[in-house]
Amino acid sequence: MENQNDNLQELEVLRQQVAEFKNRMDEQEIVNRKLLMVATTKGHISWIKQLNIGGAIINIVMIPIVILVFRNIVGCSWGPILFCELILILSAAFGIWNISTIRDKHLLCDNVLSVQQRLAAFKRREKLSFYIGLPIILLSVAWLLFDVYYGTDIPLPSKAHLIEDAIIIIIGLCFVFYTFRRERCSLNKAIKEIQEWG
Amino acid sequence: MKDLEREFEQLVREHRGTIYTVCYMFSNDQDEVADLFQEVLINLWNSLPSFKGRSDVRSWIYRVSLNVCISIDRKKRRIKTVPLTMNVNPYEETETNQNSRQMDMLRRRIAKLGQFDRAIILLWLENISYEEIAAIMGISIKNVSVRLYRIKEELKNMSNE
Repeated sequence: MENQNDNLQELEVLRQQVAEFKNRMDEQEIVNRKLLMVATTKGHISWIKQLNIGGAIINIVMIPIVILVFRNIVGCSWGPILFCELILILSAAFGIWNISTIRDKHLLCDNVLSVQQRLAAFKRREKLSFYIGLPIILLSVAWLLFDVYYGTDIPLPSKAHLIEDAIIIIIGLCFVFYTFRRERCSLNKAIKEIQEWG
Repeated sequence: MKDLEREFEQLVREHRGTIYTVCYMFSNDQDEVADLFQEVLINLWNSLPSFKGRSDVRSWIYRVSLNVCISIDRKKRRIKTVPLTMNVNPYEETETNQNSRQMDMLRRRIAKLGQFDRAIILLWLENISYEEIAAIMGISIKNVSVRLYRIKEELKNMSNE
């Protein structure tokens, strides 16, 4: 009983500390004109949206460039080019749709649990698209390269050059997978916490 | 639009202590607090037109502040942070600044909790009712009471360590 009273007293002390702290902060000016100006600047969008919208725009811009470069300049056949175009269109459409699930400006003023559930679902879809998209992109690049060298008289790069390129690609892929694995772990941790609460 | 800006400024000045306290509990240093504070302001401004009159102002401020503090990716921030106008640094320990030291100890203990637990205990420490905590967090009142009991036990164990 005595122990319980001590605990209650301790928690009350913590409450007092927070109240005192808040009072002290209320005495501070904290907010200044510049800060208000930054907050009310029109057209601010979060980095996550910038990244997704930027990605979709790059995909759309790439559509005519791929045709121009691989069909008109390099002379590839339509098969791998159309496959590549399809990936670009699907990727752009997915990016725009995924971002639209968190475009709601009411989002951040909704309750904490539902906002975190929506953000976690958004990130999970993003990661999933990466794991599905990367092998398909590699496949389309391989198909394009095969089409460029097969049946044409363009000489193949030297063996040493090919090994060098392969090593660079493998190191690059390892780095990308390591980064995504770490991000996936932290995302899974957040999702687990949300599920415990939901 | 000028009216909305004035209204926003008044609102932010009125609740600056609340916003700062939430950001403080979710940060490790003064720069991070400034960063979070700015992000909260941006989101309050963006949601102000849609919020108007929908629910209690205090509740809305807590929702936005907590959502920002929980979901922001600190490593990927792109906007340059404007320093806050303050003549005290709550992270700085001085002999006269006893409250800062105690608050820092409390912050460190709370930092050991999960993000949602941190949010719920912060609301409780700010004397928010169970009903309001339930509405802000999006859980039932019963769940709030169960969670709070567990968190208080955890905090108690931390103080015994």
